[in-house]
Amino acid sequence: MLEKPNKLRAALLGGLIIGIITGLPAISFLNKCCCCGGVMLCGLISLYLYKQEFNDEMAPLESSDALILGIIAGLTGALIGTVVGIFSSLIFGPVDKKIAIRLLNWVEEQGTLPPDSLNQADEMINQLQKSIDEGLKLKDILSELLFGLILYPIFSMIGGLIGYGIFGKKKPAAPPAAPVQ
Amino acid sequence: MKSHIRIYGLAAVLLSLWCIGIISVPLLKQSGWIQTADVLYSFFSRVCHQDDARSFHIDGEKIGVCIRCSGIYFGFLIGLISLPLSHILRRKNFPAVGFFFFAVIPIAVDVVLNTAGIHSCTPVTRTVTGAMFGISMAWFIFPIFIEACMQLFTRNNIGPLDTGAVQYVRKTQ
Repeated sequence: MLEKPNKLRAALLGGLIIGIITGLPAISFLNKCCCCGGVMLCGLISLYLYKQEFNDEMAPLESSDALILGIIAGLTGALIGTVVGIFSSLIFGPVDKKIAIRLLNWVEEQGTLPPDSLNQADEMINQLQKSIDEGLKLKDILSELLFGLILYPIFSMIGGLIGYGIFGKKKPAAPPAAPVQ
Repeated sequence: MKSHIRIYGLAAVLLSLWCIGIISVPLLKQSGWIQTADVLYSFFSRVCHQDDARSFHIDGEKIGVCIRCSGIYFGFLIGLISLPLSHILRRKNFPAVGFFFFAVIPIAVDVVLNTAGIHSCTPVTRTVTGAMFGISMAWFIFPIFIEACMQLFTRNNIGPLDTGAVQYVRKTQ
């Protein structure tokens, strides 16, 4: 029986997509709205890509492969995501924060918020404006990287395990037919 | 103690800490630990939009994640605790993939109908569909997770877990 294919290619590809999803402002907001569903989907995609590299002569795909693949993809994604995030904020500026301020202003203008929430919204706008004025800080970059290194491997691993549960399990081969007498 | 029980216990502890972290953010803020609360808000902001209008509040402060995410995480914890029930369902030939679709369909229907303007999501629908998703995902994923950890322990010959792991893998094969 042949050895299993190398996991690195599928994991790096999944990590690259995670990096893009979490690094670009608008897409990363969508990912957050889906409770990190984008990162889980990338873990699942990594496993699917890895499974495509198997043939019948190789040892079968195991759940531990899905686990490792998801973790590697998540770690890679956190690193790439931080780099993409730095470049996108240098190129586009703090787009996500500006969108958030615009949204909060719009909600305030609707006049449906209770006084307590109105104060909170004002506080949030001030904080966002302050962070825009301060610009890109090393502390923010490091926290982004640290939190990413903790969170994305977990969610990507979950995606990988979901992928294994859906299309990873192989039905046991049927026993050879008895010789016809 | 068998190693799969250790893994189960460790995961339950970590997940409980995660859920406590979600609830503790507003409590920390109320009791003056503002910087710690801000760090936790920032931590959970990586996985949730934290929209104020779509979050539960404790003493006027929103918790770490939105209502749907809270439903998912607390549902996942409930699912983990009630995992033996999933084995009972499986013995009655309930397919494992069935858990996945049971998880995804209600939440997808809720979101799609809301987006289409046919019905509007309420805190109740968000909580219920999120919790259903969390419970079913725990039942779907966790047996695979334990199996995966066992395979890793067996392959790497990790000392104290050895005997239990080997026995578990032999039983499952």
